[in-house]
Amino acid sequence: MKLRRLLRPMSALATAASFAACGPADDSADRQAAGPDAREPVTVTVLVPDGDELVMSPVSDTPHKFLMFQPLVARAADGTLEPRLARSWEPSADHTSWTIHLDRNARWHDGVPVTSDDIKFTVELMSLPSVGYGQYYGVEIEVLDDSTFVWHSERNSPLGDYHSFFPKHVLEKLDPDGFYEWDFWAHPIGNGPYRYVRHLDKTLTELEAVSDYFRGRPAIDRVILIYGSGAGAIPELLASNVDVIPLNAIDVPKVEKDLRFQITYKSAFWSGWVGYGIMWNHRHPVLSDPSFRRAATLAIDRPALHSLLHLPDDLPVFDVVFTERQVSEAPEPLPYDPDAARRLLEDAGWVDADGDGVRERDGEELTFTAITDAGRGARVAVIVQARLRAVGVRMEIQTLPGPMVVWQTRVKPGDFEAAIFWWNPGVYGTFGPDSFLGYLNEDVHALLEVLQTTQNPAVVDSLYRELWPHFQADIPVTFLVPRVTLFVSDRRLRGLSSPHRGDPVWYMEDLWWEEE
Amino acid sequence: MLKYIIKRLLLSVPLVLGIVTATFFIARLAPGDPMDMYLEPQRQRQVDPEVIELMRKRYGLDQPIHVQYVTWIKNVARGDFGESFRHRRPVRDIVAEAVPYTLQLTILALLLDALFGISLGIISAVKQYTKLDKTLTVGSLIVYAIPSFWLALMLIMLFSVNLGWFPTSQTRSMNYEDLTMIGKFLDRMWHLALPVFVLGIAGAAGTARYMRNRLLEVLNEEYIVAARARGFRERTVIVKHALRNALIPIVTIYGMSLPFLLGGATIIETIFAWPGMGRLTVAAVGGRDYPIIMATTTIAALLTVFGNLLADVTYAAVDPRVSYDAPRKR
Repeated sequence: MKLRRLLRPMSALATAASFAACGPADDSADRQAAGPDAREPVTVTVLVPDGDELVMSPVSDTPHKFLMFQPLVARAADGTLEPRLARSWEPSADHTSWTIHLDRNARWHDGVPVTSDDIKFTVELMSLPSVGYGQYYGVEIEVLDDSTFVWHSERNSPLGDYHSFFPKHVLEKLDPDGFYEWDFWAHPIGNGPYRYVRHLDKTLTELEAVSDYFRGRPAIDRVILIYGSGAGAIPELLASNVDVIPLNAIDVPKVEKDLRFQITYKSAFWSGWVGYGIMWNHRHPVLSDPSFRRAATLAIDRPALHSLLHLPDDLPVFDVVFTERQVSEAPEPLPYDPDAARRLLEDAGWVDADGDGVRERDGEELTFTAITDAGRGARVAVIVQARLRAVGVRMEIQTLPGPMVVWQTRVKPGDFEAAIFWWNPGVYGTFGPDSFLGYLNEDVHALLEVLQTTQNPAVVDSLYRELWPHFQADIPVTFLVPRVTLFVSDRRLRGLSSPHRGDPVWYMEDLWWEEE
Repeated sequence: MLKYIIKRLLLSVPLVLGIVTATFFIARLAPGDPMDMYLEPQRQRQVDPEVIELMRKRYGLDQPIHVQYVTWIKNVARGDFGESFRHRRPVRDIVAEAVPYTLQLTILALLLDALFGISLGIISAVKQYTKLDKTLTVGSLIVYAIPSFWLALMLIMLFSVNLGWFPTSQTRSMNYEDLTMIGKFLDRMWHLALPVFVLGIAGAAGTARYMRNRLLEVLNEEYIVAARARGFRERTVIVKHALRNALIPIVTIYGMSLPFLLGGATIIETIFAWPGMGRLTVAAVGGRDYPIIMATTTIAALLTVFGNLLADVTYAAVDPRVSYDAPRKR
């Protein structure tokens, strides 16, 4: 009774405070079906765990920026490229230059047309040493007319969905030395589907749909970016304060059974191969044996590994590297077959003579140490360790603070036996003549040398295809978990599709809200 | 006293210098490189090495570590903490933005700590060995033992997610700009409620235990027995005689809480997305943003040293038995 008496004024105070402060109210009343008859404003709130410094930064590449600034192209649901600022594009014969035709209807939010000069201006501005952006290095823009330009570069393709461009007519008179202090970054004028409305420092950025957007007015009328924390993301979602959050795989069980939400993902496995793998050191006397690497790969149930890590069920498994056009063509990976793994090890002379569960050969135990990062790498490593143990291989795990530390302090100098870490290997650096793995295969090296000299996609595809049998025979790396970025959003937000369009922020202009 | 303060201030110079020097070298010698942000394994696009070298030069990272150190000391002496690698803005500005947020949180938490800690400690001591005392003792021990991040998450689940009484995070509501002055104040208090409670309650539990023990010690002193024998009312004995003396060490504790004001809320700021010094420091450490790491460490070192000095000086001021002046020669 006393407790209730004590709580009553607290409750009243809280209620009064919330009314007085007019805290975030349930805006579900505002959300109506985005059909032609009912055009009540639809607002989607997105939690951004990084803080506004990065979203509002001119040099950040967070997807949120693309709500206001369009790239030249974007990825369609089937993984192919579709127009954004660019209406069409043609490569030169050697693929070192691209002629880009801009959409003539594209406009800056102040009504001025987007022209080739804006592209040239942005590339030159961002290439200034004082800006230190670095991603347009070696790019030269040749303006042919207002809506056509040629992008010259031997290394940087214009067809990335991460380029953003800025209005020359607004910025050209500003002093580049004060680049980071320009007011423009606080009140940007973009060319994307959403225009800047307001920014509440450390709290939110509000954007509204551009009514005369050249690709058609987005169905989501308003997007509010809420700057929260990663730790508080799930409570924010559960409290209905936000509609979209990025999701750590470890948190999937907290929301996957909640019917209010949907989980989608964006993959990077279409771009070569990015993710966790066992990088074998080929200089190691045991790990250099391809039949050992094959046995180890056969011993690991990779689809089950994805499931244990709460990753999507439909993630593919690979044993080779490939181009984005070859995802569906890549050869069948080695299956999970522990019996075959055992047979391979026995054929190589590894037997468990003393019955301790670990095989030996010539009195030496079949054991090695895998270094990994203390995050997801450690979780992957523990599962791999159990699978290998089941076929008589002992894998010790040594954790280091992060993938970059694993790379810089141990893998790059060659001071490792095996490494499990998240890395975008870069085909040449990983498997080429200076391979940090110590991988020696002259045929592979010769193919990679040719690969270095061409950007022609057809030639690149065929070179990759020639690499596949070597990878299948050598298993230079055991690929484990592809890289994916997970999101959880309100189920009423429609139009998302994994793996290419699983990021609600990146594709907000194509989404709509549908009451159930 | 003045001589003592000057002596302590002079002694604090090498101490602060030692702390920041150690931090400087530990941060630089730790694995990882600030330019890793251009080469993160997760990053799909490569930044040209020439640009990275350029950035190294810009931030002086191409210089030998001792040269970097001397340059940093010289700049700090001029009040310049440099430019953040990550934010590309002057560190001074970034820290200046974060400090008010942290102070709001920690000052209120300290007030809550003092209010509840001292009150409950007194009640517990006065009602020694009663059910109330035992309940407060067990309760304060439990609260003291609960990790603050766990308590924060539980309170968020209860009061924000389930009951919807308080916001889950952030510093203000979406419609903050439209509110009146009073509305803005209430809105800020509403957002401060949970983080302040989590921060303050853990401190209050500790303070209550300390206050109880100290007051019980004082209540057993002979002068208290004498006061009671003279027929003073119990209330007068406790408030006028016992409490004043029992509070003296508490002053020391709060004096030493000075560093807490700017650096004591790291976890809570992270959980509640409170954009203060703690969150800034965590992000800086993760991103090897040396200028911010060094600025926050220097501030923390200075506050610790001055907090200790303040505690000692205050102790002398409130307790006539303590004197830092040299004894008079007879």
